[in-house]
Amino acid sequence: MMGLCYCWGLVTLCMFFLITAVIMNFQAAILVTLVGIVASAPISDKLDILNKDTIEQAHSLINKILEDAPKAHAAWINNKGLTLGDNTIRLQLNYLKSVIPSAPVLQNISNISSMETCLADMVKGLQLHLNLLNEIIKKLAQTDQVNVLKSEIQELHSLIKKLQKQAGFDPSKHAKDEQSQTLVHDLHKHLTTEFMIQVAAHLTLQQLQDFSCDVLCSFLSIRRMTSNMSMAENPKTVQLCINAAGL
Amino acid sequence: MASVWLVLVLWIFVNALIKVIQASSCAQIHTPASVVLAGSPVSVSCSIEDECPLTKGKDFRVAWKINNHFAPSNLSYQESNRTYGLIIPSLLDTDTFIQCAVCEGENCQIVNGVQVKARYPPPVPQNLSCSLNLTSKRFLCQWDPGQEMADLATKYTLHIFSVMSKKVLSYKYVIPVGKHFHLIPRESYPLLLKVEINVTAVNVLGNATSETLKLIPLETAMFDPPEINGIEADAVGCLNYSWSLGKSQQWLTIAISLELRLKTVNNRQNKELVVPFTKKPRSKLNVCDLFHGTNYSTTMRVKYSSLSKWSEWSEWSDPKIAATVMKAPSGSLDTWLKVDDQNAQLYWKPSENFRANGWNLFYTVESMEPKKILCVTQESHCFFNLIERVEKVYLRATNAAASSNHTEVPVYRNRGLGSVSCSSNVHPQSETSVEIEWGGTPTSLSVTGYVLEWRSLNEMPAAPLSFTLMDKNISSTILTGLRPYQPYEVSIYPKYDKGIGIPCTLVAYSIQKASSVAPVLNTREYSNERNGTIRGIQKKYIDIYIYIYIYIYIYIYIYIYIYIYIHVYIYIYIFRFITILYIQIYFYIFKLIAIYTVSATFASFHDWNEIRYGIEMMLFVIPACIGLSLLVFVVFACFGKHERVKMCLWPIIPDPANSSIKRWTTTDSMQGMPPFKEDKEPVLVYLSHFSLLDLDEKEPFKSDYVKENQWSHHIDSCDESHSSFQTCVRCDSELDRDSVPYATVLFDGPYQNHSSCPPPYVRSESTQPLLGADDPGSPPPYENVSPRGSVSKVQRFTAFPQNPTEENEELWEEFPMLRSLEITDTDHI
Repeated sequence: MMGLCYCWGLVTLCMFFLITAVIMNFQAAILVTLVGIVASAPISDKLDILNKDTIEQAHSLINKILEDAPKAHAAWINNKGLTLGDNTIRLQLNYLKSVIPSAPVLQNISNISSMETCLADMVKGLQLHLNLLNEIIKKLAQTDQVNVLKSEIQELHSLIKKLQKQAGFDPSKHAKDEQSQTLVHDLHKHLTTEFMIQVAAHLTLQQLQDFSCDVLCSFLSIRRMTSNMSMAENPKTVQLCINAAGL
Repeated sequence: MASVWLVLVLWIFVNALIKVIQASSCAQIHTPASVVLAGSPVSVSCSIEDECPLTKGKDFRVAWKINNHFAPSNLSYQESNRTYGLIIPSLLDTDTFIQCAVCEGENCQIVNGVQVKARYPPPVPQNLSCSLNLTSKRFLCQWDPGQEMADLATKYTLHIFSVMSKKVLSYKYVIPVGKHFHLIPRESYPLLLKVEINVTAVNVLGNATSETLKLIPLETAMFDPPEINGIEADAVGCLNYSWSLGKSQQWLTIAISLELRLKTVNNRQNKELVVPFTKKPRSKLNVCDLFHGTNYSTTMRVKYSSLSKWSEWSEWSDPKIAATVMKAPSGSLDTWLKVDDQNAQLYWKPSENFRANGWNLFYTVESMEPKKILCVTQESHCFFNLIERVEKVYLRATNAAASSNHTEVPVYRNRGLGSVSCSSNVHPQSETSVEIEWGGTPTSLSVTGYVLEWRSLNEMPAAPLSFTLMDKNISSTILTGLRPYQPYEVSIYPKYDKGIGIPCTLVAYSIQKASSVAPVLNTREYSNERNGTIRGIQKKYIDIYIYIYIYIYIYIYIYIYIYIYIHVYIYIYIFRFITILYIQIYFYIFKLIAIYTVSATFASFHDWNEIRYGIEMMLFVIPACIGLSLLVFVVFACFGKHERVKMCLWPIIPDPANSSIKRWTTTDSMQGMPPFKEDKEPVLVYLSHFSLLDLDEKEPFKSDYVKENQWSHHIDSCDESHSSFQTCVRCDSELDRDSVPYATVLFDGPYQNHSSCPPPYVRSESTQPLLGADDPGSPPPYENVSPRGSVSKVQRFTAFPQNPTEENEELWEEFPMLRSLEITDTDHI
């Protein structure tokens, strides 16, 4: 997992280099890249601005969401062909996947700025899935498990917002709720048949699980970078994410 | 007629109804609210109708009554022409009846009234508490409603607020009347964020809100017991635990409070310690300062936070046992060495500071000069030979890890020094302890201490010796751990700096103790399918059974008594002997039954079945005995030849009232009248044989003519009688056996006519059913004898010789006495 995150860091650096190389001359590119390296260097003490208790709470909740998503899937979707985390199904549904708006890709956290973006994306992603679930619930009878999942997403959403606030980030800077709302509205057009509703529900939960794994990954790296925070991974959810990622 | 009445009744009823309506509508009373806040003012208005007969053309005033007391006049006022008002400045009574009355002079008539209730707003709901069940995800809030007013419905509303993403989410739940709890659905509360909860009670007079509860839902949850995954004894005296939360809380990564409870296993120091922690799940827990080489059983429990007043401890987890690292035994041993020439007996026991620090403990006794191991043992004593030179022996304890330091034991060969004064006293203290007192020692010798040793005298093989070392200034001690009331040999040895003194030995007993084991009661169990054991039956049922028994006994007794009495009465003259025997048998059987049943009842009053069988047996045996005896008697009676028996059994009770003459017949019973036979001629004899039947006579048998022996004699002598009557007599003798001729007739008509019939002596046979039992059908038609001369006309008597009527006349002529008996009117026959 660490390697993956580090790779992301290197890719970002290379992109920095290429962009600046295209725009300016090579020397300038080297300078900018160096600045980038310095900026993206491990900054563990800088992350101490985050409230550790809130991080713990958010970490606990993302664990809980990862635990409860399969339960909600089992209770909600009766189409036996749709299995959560099945790679074959995942590939076969690649075409239909375009029906639901994709979740934001979480940036690798290397510095304060990336963490700010990452947190904002988390909020965005969680809100997106919440909206998606609400939209599908209109068509598909809701179950207790889905309600539980929804309230957990809602709670994590507010916890991350709390985290943003505690860190002094400006949540409004990244808020693009309206955009996700319009995307979700498009989904409405596709939910015409029972099959499509089931597929949309499956795709949403699958995407939510994947996104939650990314969130968990981010939280683990935040913990790692924050001083005095021991590793307290839940092997169950980490294993689930490794399986989900097909690693 | 009925319809007229109905109409009248209806008219009266309707009229009465109209009057009632008129009366009630005499005034209208009005109050703004029938339920008011206690202490608040109340206004009531009463408007008198124009049509009110009480006021029509009268000078009246309106008075108010509050709870049957006239209201002070300053409270009432007149609103308008016929409307009057009353204002009560502060209503405090819970129920107030306000009545409006129309008064004319002193005469007041209540015309209308109203009830006003003074009530309070609902009490503030108390003790609001919420708890989350993590398994069922139920968040239950409950509260105490306080003193509610029964006739005033109180509604509750539960509010829950939480701050989610800057928005305040608020949910409101209206609770059904009578419920004082609510299950908050999962979507209304977060798990880890703070919520505020309160309850509002509302009734018509106001509302009251409880204290607001501020809590994190998760902190109210009782966690599942955690699990100890592993224990490591990594450092000396320490244990290191790895653990995890219960299955449904494994997602938690926040720090929580937990407690470890450690208990030594199989150790003399049975100590328990509880170690608190606040740790994140999956972190290691380290507990130190434990005994070395000791097994510890550990359990743990968790709760959200020890700071939160809502948190509750989970159950204790399953215990896990682990041992700490061993170390050489530490501390010293108490020793007691007794030397007798070359034989030495060494006893030891751990002192207070001794720690085994491991297991597989054994002891080694050795001497340094010469270096020799005297004995190695796992016991707490050792006997060995000691050569003269040895002045000290050494004792050490060894466990699986290492050996302890040596304990030095000096060998005192001087014995028989000054003895302890043997005025020792033994005072039993309790069932297991005894107090020993001893006197001083000779002052010439300096005592360094005392050794008290004791052993049980009652144990086979001989019990090991126990001992205690005591300080020199102690002169009494209490021995504990003794067996109740067992002899113990106790010796007190004084220890001097040079040797050991002469002991004082005595036998001590502790106090007796009641047997701790109850004697085993061997009980019989009934395990048949009826499962009818009533061993533990309640007393009331036993009483009922006894009553039933007594009742049965009395019943049977009375029955038998009456039965025997009747029998005795009947038999007394006939079968005196048999009856007496019979009674004796009867009483004997009864006695047997009674003895059997009584013994069956009270000796084994265990089983309902036995009781039932007893009753069944009685119910069978008694009627059987009665029936058998009856049978014996009947058989005897039937086959017995004695006619008297029959007579006694079936006595003939004549009833002349129901009798009539059935058949006429002649008889030769004149033989029963010897004087006639001998002295008179045959014809004359016939004439003189008659008997008079007085129709009013109740006891025809008393007629001196009809005698038992005469009839029997007549039957026997049937063949000797006159040849002309033979057939008739034969027939008659047979009939006589069946139907008893109880009356001889007739003398009903004039003798002139009667004389025409040569055998004027006839007799009748009763038709009474009692007497004609063998002839159950209605008797054949018969003819009563007509009063005058009808006898001769009867066809049936053609067998009789027909004599000329003159002859009859002559007969009458010759017997003037008979003539005098002539009855002229016999209509009644």
